[in-house]
Amino acid sequence: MTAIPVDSAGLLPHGPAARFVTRVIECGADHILCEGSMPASAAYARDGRCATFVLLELGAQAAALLDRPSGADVASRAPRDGYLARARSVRCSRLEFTPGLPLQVWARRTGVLAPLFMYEVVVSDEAGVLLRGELSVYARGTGTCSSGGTGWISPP
Amino acid sequence: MALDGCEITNASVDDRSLEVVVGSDSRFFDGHFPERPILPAVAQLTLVEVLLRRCCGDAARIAALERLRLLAVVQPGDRLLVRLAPAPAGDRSARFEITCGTTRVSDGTLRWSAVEE
Repeated sequence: MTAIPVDSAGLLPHGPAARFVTRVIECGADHILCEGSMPASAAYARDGRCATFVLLELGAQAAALLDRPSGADVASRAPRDGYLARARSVRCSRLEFTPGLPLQVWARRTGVLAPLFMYEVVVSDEAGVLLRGELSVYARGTGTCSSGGTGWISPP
Repeated sequence: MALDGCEITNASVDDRSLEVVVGSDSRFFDGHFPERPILPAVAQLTLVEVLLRRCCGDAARIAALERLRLLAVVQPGDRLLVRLAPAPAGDRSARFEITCGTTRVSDGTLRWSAVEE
């Protein structure tokens, strides 16, 4: 699959300042792998450091990219209207990280109890895992990115 | 610790509480979302960490979230009350909640560690 730049595709409802996932690397039926970063200029960064729990937002954005409304083509798909609703068993391997460096975020859908979608997420940098945990997103009008990212199907 | 665009109007270590007005100019709202700004969950956790550092020492940081519930949206200008209930000494965990008036916005249980200074 060719990596999809999130900025150009308008895949998320977030504005640029809050859009921390930058590229979709791989999208399967129930999982997604993305690249991203926390800008050093973000409101969460302070003196060149950033609290690791902030990376929950990256996990939520990757999850939003995995389950998006169906549509005829990428350009016509509206971003998903959804909110982070729950999180649990979230572990920060390090308490802080350096913003501005490349990150990878992996999300796997673990369940659906509409309108709640549940995911396992892992955020890493080149040194290893920074954060892992489970989150739930309240979503409306959702579909699923099919294997290979070439088509979209409605959830069962 | 600075809180971008947020004004702390009251803080009490004894009561383990923090009253904050989240200004409409806060960068926490930038891009989240352009047509309907709401305070991100991680910004709410940032407020909780500010209170944690006041109550448990400036090196204290959120290391884990056993449970987090987001129950209502926070909009620009909202006045929030953040409360923390640390476990007895030796157990680095705490319950927290954020309310806006009579509305519970979020709550949860965290574990904390001290960052190396």
